[in-house]
Amino acid sequence: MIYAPVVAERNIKSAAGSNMENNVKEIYNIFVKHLESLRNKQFNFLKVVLDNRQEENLNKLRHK
Amino acid sequence: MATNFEGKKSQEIISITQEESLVEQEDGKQMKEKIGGLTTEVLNEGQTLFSNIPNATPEELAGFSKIQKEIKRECRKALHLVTLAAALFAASEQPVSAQNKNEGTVKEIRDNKKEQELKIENQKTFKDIFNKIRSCSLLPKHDDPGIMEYYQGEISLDKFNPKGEKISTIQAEAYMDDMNLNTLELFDAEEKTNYVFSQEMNGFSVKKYSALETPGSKIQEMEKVSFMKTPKEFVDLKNIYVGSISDEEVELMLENFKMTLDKQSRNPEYYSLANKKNVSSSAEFSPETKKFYQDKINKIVAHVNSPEYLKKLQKEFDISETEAKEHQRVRIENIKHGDFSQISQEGLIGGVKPGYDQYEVFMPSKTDSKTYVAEHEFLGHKAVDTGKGISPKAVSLISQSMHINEAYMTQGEKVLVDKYGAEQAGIMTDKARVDFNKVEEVYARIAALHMELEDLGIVKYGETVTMEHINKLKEFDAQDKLSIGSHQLLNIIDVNFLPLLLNEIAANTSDKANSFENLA
Repeated sequence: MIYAPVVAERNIKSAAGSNMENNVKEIYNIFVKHLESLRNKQFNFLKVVLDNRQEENLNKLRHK
Repeated sequence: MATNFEGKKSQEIISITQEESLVEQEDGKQMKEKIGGLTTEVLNEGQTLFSNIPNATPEELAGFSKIQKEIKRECRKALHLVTLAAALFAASEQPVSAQNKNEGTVKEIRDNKKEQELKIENQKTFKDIFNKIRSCSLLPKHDDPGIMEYYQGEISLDKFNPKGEKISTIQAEAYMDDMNLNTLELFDAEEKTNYVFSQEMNGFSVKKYSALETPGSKIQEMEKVSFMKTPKEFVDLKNIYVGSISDEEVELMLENFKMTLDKQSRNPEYYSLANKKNVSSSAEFSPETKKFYQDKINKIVAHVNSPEYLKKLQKEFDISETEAKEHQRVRIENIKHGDFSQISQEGLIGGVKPGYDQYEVFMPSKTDSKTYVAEHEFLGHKAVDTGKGISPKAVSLISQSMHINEAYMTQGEKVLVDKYGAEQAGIMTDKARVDFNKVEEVYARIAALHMELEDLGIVKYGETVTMEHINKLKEFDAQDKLSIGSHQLLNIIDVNFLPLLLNEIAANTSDKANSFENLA
């Protein structure tokens, strides 16, 4: 049923009691990294849209 | 406008720092709030900027929505993993509160744990185990499951014996895909056992197999313990509990799930759509298409309304005629209930998207008399609320019959590789495999096949199906005269089971090499 790619290296942590903290920290850090890159992606997309719009407006003005 | 835009960019609207003190809280709740907060800020930022763009075109809006969805998805992944991590921790022998160093020394905590464990030892009833699971209510609800996509994460925890000695480390992997399948896979290094807890929007299954087998052979060797129907309270991820559950406890849980499910699926009201809101709309269909489907629905209703169908229901559920009539009534009402929407994808694909209090039905805009999409969706899924109303007998028979033709999978993947590239083809094949292993999907194909067999003149509904009929069916398949669903069915079950399935259970494009794409 489950055939996600098998994780090559199983990083088994042995320090008792610290698993949750480490795991959560790691998850958070990965999340923050992804969020930052998505934020940039969002910004770049909007910038392109806005640039196109300005170019259109400029063309319209030129044609007038 | 541009100044405003650039101005916003130059400011750091949110400051994201990675080195903050993260886990002081009990159960990851604060962390979740933090993740949610950051996401909201980024989403709001985008929305503010977008609202400043005059006369946005539909394409621009679509592009923007896509990014926003991506952001939400990333947030969900993180939330899911954090809660999973917290739940795993809570589920391990060590109490969550042990995170708080003020609560006592490690030894004291271990002693407490020992007491708890001894208590657990004495609790062997299902109710106790279930309460233990419920107390682990840290996981979020999926209010928007449609936006999830495949991902995976890894978490590990240690397992202790009652004396507080570490006996093994359990490695857990969490997956979630865009088919709303949440999976928690546990590897127990010591016991050489894997437990796979997977939870779908509309189903629950627990599978157990040996850790040392390769993925390819797992599917054949897996102990088949799969239940398609899920009582509402199990749908929430919080019910996934791992760590200190023993084999006996797992067995006990399975037994209980089975009993609950059997009882519920025997009650037609359990799978009635009457109280669910239908959110579909046929507004986009042309009058011809609408009529095509309406005729199909009428035909399907007549099929379910037939005395033969009633007899099969009676036999399948092993119930009286009066009780069978109730199932018949609910199924007909389900088929007729609500409307259907046009699916956005191209091709001859349909779908029924079940939810807790609402559901949606999709049909393709393209119609083709050779396809059995309407039969698959309306009779196979909608009539039984996508799996909830499938009889225990059908679940058991279908589970036993499942056998995927690997040559078919390989061939299908090859075609996809040419079209989409190796990586995408691999993902699509994995998805196909997941779908082909769902009882509800096999059930829907069988339901549609009943009608197709009659249309093809192979065997009249209600007559006993024999291997001869199946051979004829295979001939039709060889001549490329079967619907895509039936073609798939011949490749995902052991065909020798087919007469049994057709006799015991009341129950797309011609480009068959690409049939992975046409999963409904």
